[in-house]
Amino acid sequence: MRIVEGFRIKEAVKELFIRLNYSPDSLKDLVFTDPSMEHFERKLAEIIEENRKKAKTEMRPLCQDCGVAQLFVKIGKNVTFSDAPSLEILINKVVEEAYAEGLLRKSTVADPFERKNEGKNLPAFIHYELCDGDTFEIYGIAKGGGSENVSAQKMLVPAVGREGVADFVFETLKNAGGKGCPPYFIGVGVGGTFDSVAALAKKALLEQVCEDNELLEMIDEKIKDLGFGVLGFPGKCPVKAVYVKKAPTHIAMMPAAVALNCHSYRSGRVEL
Amino acid sequence: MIAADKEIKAGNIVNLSGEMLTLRDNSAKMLAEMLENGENTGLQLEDSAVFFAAPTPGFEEGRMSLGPTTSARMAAFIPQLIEKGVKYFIGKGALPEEAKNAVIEGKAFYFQALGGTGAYYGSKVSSMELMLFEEFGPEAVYKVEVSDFPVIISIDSDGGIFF
Repeated sequence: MRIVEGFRIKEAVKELFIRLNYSPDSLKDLVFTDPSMEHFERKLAEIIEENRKKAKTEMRPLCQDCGVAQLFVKIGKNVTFSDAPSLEILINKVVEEAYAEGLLRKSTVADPFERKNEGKNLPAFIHYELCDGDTFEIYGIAKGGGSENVSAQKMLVPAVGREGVADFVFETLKNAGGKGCPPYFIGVGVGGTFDSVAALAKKALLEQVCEDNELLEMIDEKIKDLGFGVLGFPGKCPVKAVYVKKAPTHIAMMPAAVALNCHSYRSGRVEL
Repeated sequence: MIAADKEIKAGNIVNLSGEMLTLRDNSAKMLAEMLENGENTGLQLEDSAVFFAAPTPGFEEGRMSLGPTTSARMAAFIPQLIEKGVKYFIGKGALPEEAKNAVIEGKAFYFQALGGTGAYYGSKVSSMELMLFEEFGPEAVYKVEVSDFPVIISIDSDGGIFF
């Protein structure tokens, strides 16, 4: 049995969520200007790049919407941890600390109808995956409301195939327009069940993988006709990257989900 | 009051300087109720600029971030705010038809700031004062003073439109 000390998990997760909001791994070395851009779109892309510099050098959060903390935790069967009654309690405590010490905005309301902000940005939204061996790995994402609001899930029929999924991605992007702050990073999930496909789409976004090149090519082809560019204004570059994950599913089903993320894409991974 | 460094014409990118009031979901709803009931809000709305936004903490430390949020969610309050004197609205994204018409008919303006660039805009804020609804946390109404604050003119006073 491998024991991971609770304080190491705390340090790593706190550091991760603060780092995500100032200089995330996911934006490292990315360039938002593009040779195809005309003057107007280029100007907007330059401000996006300037924003990234300001965030890093002046320690101002990339976006005032510092998001909710989402974590995808992968734990090997031989791993346990010390210093906390549960991983859930430990992660929530440390997310609260990260948002307080990191001077990050707390955007969570305790009840969807009453909408009172308790100022802690809790709970963290956590997915657990159990696996073999000694692995203890955490993907974190600080996810803002704008792009989450324009993400979508749909139960397609199997007969529509890749073409149908690509159409759904296009439709989702068309509806999103500038609302979710493009250029978008897109996670597409296909297969699984009604509840699991949305998480699969987000995992695609986090792992930055593509498990179906044929679908990717179709999506790339369709998004050329979106008709908007940076931040939804006239332009040529509405999408930065597309990732795809697949899962087994029922003979009658083809669930699909599109997780959109804004240009201030804040995700990263820690391994303990 | 706010001023622009270039002509306020739909499609132009201009730099704004002056004062803005931050407003968003909860605060917009509460402010609308107060105005409806004729309560004194203590806000100078005549010729004012409203910025659909909610800041991070850290202004004192020089680390505040403050960019626009989606205007459409607050669009229902725009006609009433224009009636009370608000002249400029700054946010992001398109406006629904009714709000768009209210802006045009009221000779008001709609500007879009660049979403997701709160660090950049935060660095353009030189003062910040809490005005209303402290209990709403980031959704409180703040008066902020900005300079060299770039926006895209989406609706100008001649009814010119650019989205």
